[in-house]
Amino acid sequence: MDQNEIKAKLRKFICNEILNNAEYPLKDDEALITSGLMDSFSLAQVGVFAELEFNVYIPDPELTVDRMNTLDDMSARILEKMQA
Amino acid sequence: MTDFFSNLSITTLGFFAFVLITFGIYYLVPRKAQNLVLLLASLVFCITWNWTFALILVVFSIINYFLALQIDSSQDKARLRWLWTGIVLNVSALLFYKYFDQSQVIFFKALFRLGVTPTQLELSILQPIGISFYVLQAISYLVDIFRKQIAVNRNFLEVSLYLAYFPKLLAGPIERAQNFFDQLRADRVLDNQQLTDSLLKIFVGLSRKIIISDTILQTIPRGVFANPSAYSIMDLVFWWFAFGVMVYNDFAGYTSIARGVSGLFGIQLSPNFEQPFFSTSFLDFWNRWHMSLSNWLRDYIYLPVSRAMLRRNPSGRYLPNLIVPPLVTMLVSGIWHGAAIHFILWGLLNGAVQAWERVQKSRRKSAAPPLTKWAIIGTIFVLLIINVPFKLDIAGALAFWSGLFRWGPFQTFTLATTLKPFFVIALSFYLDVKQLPERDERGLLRLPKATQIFLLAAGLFLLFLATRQQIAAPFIYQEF
Repeated sequence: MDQNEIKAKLRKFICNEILNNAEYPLKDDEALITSGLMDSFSLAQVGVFAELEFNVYIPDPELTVDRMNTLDDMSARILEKMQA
Repeated sequence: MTDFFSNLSITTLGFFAFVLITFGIYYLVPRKAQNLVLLLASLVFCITWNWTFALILVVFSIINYFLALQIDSSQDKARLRWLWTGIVLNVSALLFYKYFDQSQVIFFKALFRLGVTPTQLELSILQPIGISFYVLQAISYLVDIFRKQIAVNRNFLEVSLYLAYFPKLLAGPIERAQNFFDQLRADRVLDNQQLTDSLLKIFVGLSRKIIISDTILQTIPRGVFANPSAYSIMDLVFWWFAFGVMVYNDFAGYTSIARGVSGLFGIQLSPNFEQPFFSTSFLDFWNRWHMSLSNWLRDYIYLPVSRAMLRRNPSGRYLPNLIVPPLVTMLVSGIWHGAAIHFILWGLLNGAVQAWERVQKSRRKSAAPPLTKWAIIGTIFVLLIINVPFKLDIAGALAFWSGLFRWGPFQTFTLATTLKPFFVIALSFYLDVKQLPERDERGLLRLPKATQIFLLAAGLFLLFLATRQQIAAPFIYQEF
């Protein structure tokens, strides 16, 4: 699985489950946390989604704004964990 | 001389003399000895309060050092057992010092029967300074090793210094082990930029504490909180808001001084505040207020609880998933703050508004929250109301809240009583607005040079006056 596939699944999950708007035009580099679209609970959701969907565990201290603010950040981190 | 160096609170001249002496020795000794100098200085700092505090810190360091080694070298259930041993020991020590009346403990009763008096044991001041803060650091260190997020540190000096480092000992910031260890191993740099940043932080911190917070403390009419039923809503709202600004500047001032002093030794401490009075939501507020505690609670309570619940039911709209984590987290925060029912109520109220906000968010279609002045005013107003039990016990809080429905004239509105608090509240907001571009004190360096010189001169003059009057009150969070 490459980063684009991870990104596509993440985008669908975030738009449907977190933003409650499947049509939301979420960009790869759009700030999700600093813009207020996502909060710490949403990050927990992404963390559990990564466990269930990609079988990777992202430790709690890594679920932070500087590491998970955009789709690019999240997908890169998940890919890194998958390859570790 | 002994008094000058006793109970070194970080706004005293004695403290700054202590820092200067340590600073001189620190940069005279070889690099390898610098950490040892900091550890010895930290223990001396503790001893200026009470020699038993230094002893307790050393015992804490030894216990946690060996617990960390045990966790690291164990597998599976033994590993978990060592972690829980560490957590239980640390939490028990905190509960013992914080919550129990030691005069009622069997061990001490036995000593009393043998003729030892409570005064000889200094029971009234037995709660070690900073224990609430270094216990959290110790727990996070053990948990991080258990989770294999960091490597165990076999250098006892570094582990001890992580817990005892004097600029943060009294009231944080609550540091993470890896970040701190990395800095202890790196070369220490004190260039002009670093020196300017550090001195600026100390200056702004002293100004926030002595000019703003202590001034408000002196002007608040004592009856407003002791007997709120005698006052109208106007009085209560104004003075409660002033009290909120006071607490903020007290703690933000402390943090700035601590960070500034630490910067002089080339070690950067975490920020604790980011203009919390400009929060646009309750969740936003807790990302800006006492950030090192909020981050600790998020990483070691909130996220594990949220993830455990989401694993059982992954829906982001399932009500228990939204309600339980903030309630549990803020309940822990309340218990950490104090051994009283009103702190538990304070925690639950804050957890409840966060849960409410989360439920609302889960039901609306995405849109960035409105960054309007009304969001800020509404958030601060509700927070001020639910934070009443932070200061008052349950009966006092109820009396205060009922006073908010008592319409009437502003009884305490005289030029003499309100001029000073108005001025310093405005100064607090001015500092916050000017800090916004850099998100910390460095924002003030963007001001025109003439304004900087004026603020520096005025600040030094007011600090000089305050020092002459010796009005500095103890830091509020030091009590926790």
